[in-house]
Amino acid sequence: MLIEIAFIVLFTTMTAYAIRHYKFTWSRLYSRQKRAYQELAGHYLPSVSIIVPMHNEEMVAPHILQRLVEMDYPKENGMYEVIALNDCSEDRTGEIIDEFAEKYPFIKAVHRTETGGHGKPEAMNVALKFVHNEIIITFDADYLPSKDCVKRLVAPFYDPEVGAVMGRVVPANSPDSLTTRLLDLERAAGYQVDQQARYNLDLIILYGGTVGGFRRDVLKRIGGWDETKLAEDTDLSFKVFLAGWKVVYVNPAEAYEEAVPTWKQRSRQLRRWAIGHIQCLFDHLIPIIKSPFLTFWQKVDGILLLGVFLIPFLMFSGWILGLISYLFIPPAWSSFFIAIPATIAYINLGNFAMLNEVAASAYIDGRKRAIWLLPSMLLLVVHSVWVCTVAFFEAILLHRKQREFKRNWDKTDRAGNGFLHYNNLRNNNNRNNHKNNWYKTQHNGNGIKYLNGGEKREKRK
Amino acid sequence: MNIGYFVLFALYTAVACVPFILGYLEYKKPVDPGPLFINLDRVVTDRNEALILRERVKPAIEVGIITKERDMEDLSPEKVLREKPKFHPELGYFRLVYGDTFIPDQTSIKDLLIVIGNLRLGNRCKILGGAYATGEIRVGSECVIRFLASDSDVYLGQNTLVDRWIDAKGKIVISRDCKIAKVTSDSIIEAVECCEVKEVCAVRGFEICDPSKKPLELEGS
Repeated sequence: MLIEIAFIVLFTTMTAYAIRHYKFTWSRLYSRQKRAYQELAGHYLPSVSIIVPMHNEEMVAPHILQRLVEMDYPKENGMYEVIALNDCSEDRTGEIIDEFAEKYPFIKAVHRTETGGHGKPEAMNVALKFVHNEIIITFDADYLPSKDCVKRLVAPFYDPEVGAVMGRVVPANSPDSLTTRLLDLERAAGYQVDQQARYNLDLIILYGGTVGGFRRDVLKRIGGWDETKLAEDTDLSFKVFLAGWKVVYVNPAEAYEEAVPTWKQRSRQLRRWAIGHIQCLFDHLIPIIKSPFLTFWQKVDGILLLGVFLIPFLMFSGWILGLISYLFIPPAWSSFFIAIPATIAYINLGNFAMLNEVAASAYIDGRKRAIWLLPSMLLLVVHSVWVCTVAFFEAILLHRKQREFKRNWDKTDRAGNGFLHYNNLRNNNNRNNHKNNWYKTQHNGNGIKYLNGGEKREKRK
Repeated sequence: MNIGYFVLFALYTAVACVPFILGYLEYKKPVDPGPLFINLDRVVTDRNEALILRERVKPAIEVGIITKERDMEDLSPEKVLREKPKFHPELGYFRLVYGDTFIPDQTSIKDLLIVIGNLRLGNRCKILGGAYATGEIRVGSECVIRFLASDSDVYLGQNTLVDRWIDAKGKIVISRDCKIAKVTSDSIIEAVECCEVKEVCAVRGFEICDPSKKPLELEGS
């Protein structure tokens, strides 16, 4: 009896998520797409402060700072400022920031030497004290934004109800390893389909901590970044929604990032996200239900969104229960009727719904053979089942002592490969001068393969 | 529990492995390893909306040409304008017409009008979804239009209101008493008489054809 009840609960939850995924895919493929105020891009130009927190980022710091120098935005009269925060770096990050700050008056170097080093949210709160402008945009150090990125991101703030925006993230180092290739597909689904669909449907848009921004007043009113949270960006998104502001997803505001190249780094990242989301679920569940600002469907989506990292744990439970029913319970109506259909249903509906989003994003982005890796996405699923199941129990333990929790920088090591891959891609693109040829030529085009160290290690004959 | 369960399980596992073969091939000999191309050097230009529209309309036009060449569908103006509009997620509701098109006086169209050929609008027409033509566009007088884009020339009749913008690869001629938010052209813009334009951008310049009459009111550059 217990197994049947467990199956019904699992089946219902997985079906809810599956319907949500299919709804998003349908909305992205077949419904009218919202434009995110892009007709105002370039016309509405408020004063902007860009925050870039850095901790041991010498491999990537020059690239992001150079991109921000070249950003297409009026830089006169303090309209545009970059706050490059060096948070207790032990490498050349500080020197690189100083070099740029000397050269360009709109770059402000902020160095923390002794009191800092307690993680990104704390660094962001420090940087917030130096902000003078109306809009705050954030970029992580490994990001490469396009020149029009800031103009596109600030356009929605023309609407006085908009409190925050989020742009699209694309991995630049996808050729590095199988992990980066799978993450490339996953990110495409997450932004091109998931976020855009949520925006189309007027649901909860998640601020991802980078390539996004806030009104300064809104950020100060909600207390800035929460230093006790492992997913401070998710926490901030919900605080903005709960305070009654709109959040807008700007799909054309694109930036490259470096995805984690190894499974070990992926585990660390996923664990952080999972614990962070579950922390936010504990904190925001009741306020979401009670909120007078959120619509019914926003409440439903908000809860499902915060619980998304519980799904791997539920899947794990489902697999165990499915195996027990299939192998050890004598064939009776219960095991046959409940166990097998339920197992098939949550695998097909639950897992494949997510893969469906990946396929849709690959179709929209015009990807070709990358989609052949789609079945291999199950590796990501199995990996996340393990990591998130462990993280689920860690989050419960952590929740008890959250008040004393003080975090440190839990950052991913950057190789700087994203910049090399982008240059490689652009050169080949220019050489071939054909829009759709890039996917055929960029990998072997110049015979150079860049490995994780960032150096040119191998030259093919 | 008997051996049959395990045989079935093994068979299922073997079948389930089949889709991974393609993934293995792509991983070992990558053809499309990414990254997805983003032009990091792109900027927001004065013709941003027009360029975006052209990009979005391009697939619809290609489909229209292929459809027409293969006689798959009747895309004549008479039929298309009578029937229900089509829908595309990026374009919204639209009507795709193949061939030179004339829209009679006082016609109101709510959807985006895409014309593969020349477009002529009668007097007092309302094109509330905007219009795009691969050929020339001639607009009658007292029309109300959301936006206009042409790969050739555009001629605007008197007292026409264009709510957003006009963009043309050829020249744009604006008649008396027109009100337009923005006009951009790859070629030249000629304003005939008194009219109101908030923004103008033309590669080959801007001319007021009859300076002896009331001058053009320009608000901005």
